[in-house]
Amino acid sequence: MTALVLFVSLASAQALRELGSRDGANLQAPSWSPDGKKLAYEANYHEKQIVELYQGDPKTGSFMKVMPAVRPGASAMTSGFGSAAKPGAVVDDLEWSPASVGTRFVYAASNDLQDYDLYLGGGSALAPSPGADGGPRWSPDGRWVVFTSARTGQGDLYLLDVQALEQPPRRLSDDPTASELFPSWSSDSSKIVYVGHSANGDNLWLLPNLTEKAVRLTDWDRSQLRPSYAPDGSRVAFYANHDDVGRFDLYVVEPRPGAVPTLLAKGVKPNATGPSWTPDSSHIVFVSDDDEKLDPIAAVRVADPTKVAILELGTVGNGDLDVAMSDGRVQLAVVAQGKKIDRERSFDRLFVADLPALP
Amino acid sequence: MIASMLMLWAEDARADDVAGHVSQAKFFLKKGWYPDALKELEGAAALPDGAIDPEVWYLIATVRYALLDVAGASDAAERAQTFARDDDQLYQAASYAQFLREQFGEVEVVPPYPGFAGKLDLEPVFPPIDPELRAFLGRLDAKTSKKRTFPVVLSLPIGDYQLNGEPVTVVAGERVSVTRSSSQLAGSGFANAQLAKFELGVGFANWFGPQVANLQPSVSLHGAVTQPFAGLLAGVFVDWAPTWYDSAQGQILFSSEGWSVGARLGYELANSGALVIRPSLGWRLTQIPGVERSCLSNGDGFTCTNDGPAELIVYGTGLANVALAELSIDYIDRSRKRTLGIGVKVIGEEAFGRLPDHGVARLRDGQGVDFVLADDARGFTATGFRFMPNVSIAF
Repeated sequence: MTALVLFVSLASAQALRELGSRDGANLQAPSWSPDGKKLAYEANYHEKQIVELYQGDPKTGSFMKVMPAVRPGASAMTSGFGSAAKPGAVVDDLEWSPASVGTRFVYAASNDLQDYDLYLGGGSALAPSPGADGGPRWSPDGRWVVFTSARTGQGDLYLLDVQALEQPPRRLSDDPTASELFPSWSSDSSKIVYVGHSANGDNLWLLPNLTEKAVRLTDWDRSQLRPSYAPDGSRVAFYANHDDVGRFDLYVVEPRPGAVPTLLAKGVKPNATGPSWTPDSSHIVFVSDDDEKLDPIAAVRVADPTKVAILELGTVGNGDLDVAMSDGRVQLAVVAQGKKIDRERSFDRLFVADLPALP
Repeated sequence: MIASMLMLWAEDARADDVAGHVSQAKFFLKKGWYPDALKELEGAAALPDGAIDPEVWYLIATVRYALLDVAGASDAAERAQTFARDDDQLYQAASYAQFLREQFGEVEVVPPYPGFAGKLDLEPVFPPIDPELRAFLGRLDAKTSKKRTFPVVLSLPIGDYQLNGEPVTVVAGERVSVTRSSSQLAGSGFANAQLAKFELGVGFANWFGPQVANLQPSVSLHGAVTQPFAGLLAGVFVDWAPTWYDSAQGQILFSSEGWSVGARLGYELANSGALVIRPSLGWRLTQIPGVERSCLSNGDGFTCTNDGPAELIVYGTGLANVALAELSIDYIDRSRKRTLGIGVKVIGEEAFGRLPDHGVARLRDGQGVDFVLADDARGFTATGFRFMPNVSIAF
């Protein structure tokens, strides 16, 4: 595949803005709320082995740290004071709700017992249980939250009913030979694509609805990771290193058994939340794994993978990114080691810019 | 030594009192008897040892929260934080105080005047998904569904709400003040009827104008029902004004006719305290008796005109459409569910009447004679004034 590589520069009107940095931490996993008005990110203090989570308003630059709240509840009134589990070192994995239920979010947090639970933003733990919970994904219709939990074994998908969060979650998968991870909802909230991790490799599976058994989408060796449904539901994008164990490539596949994946780009840096689609599903924005070019941001046209645009936004050492629509503009949030003009580049910082028009 | 033992015994007694209160409170909590539990805990907090006991204050915070007193809960949680004796207690108290601070705000609902009794109608724009906040709003709904006296201050989870028909946004840690009119606080549907007002008045009325110059001031009896409707006050009424009038022969004649029915629409002036000041515009259909016409014989009977030579004077009852403007001032104690009020009404009106085209005039000897009215003699106008003290019953 020969790609036609274009270079798209950021016009001054789409000026790059640095939103923040945290001393001693690499910022990672930026995530826009569906309406593009809120932004979350993680601060990874590698040396201290701490991950903090922040969410806030990118316009004002005001971000608040997200922490699990202690909520006494009825039983806590009679149990001991000072006996609540304290937060642990990791708070991450924030997932925004769709706008139809208000601006809410869920996230995962560890506690001092080294257990991970899901929490509702501003609320208490959701379906707490021994065994790590993580990877929450809110359905686009606002009704469900699917997540991975080790409560019954090695990692199964569970489903929370948002309208009855006090009820125990429903188990969706029960393969004793594999763990189910990285769920991604179709835009009509009826299907879930996820990664089945087993001794034979990591492959994509499709739950055609919430009651039937999953069907296989890919059957390759090595790792196929972080599926991401297109907003229009036509395709699923994912990363795969089945060609070269040292390199991840970007693919798309139609969400039906037997579909043949299409290669979009070679050598990409896997994004924390999976491949980032533009809101109109025409392009995927990714970071090219190219040390010589300092990991530039690029966008590939899904219908014609020969058309790849390098987005000259002015940042270098790019990492995780996310794209969202707000007030009619497509916005990009990206963590990067700095701007081209910076003398010093160390820890990853957070930048936002309007996405330029793509070919 | 005895003194030391007495001191130890006294200290134990004090400590036991706190522990005893807390133990009793926890028993009440298991039963769900929160007011009783709060009483025990506040008893503990009133003791010297209890006043600095973080667990006492933490429990007070949780019980006050359960009783929807978020401000009180927040204060108690902060005291628990202040008096925390180790990191675990500090974390738990501080975290709870932070939750209350960041997840709740206040709304003050201001009525048209203090002491107004009405109902709260609160709906979140996005129904809460957090089970505990949903339960909080459920408890609040049960508490606020009854009629209450305004102004009130509510603690609410942050977010957008519809409060008695208008939006309000609750912001963390802030109090927003909103004003609602009496009709908004009165509720809707059948609930509205509970703020209906019946009015009974007796006063005097008079018509002015060249065509009704012979009418004398008369007594007017008035009955009305007023209800809040679409932000206004709608009323229907019935009047009876039996009329005395002068005849051409200098006699004073009487007619028991003078019934009318009508409707009015007005609004209540805000910030008028316990006085209900209500300007209204309305209409009524009324009988106006005693309208004089001059008649000449036409062979078969008589033909009558407005004024002209007269072989016969007849007095007819016209039916008039009356446009009216009313000012009503009542004193009502709105803090009570059912209450009597007193007030006055002043009404100015303009009548556009029409006499029937024919009739039978009764002579003094009882004989009846037919008469017809020329078309241009049927219409008449009059300007009216009524003044009416009245009593009202609101419930």
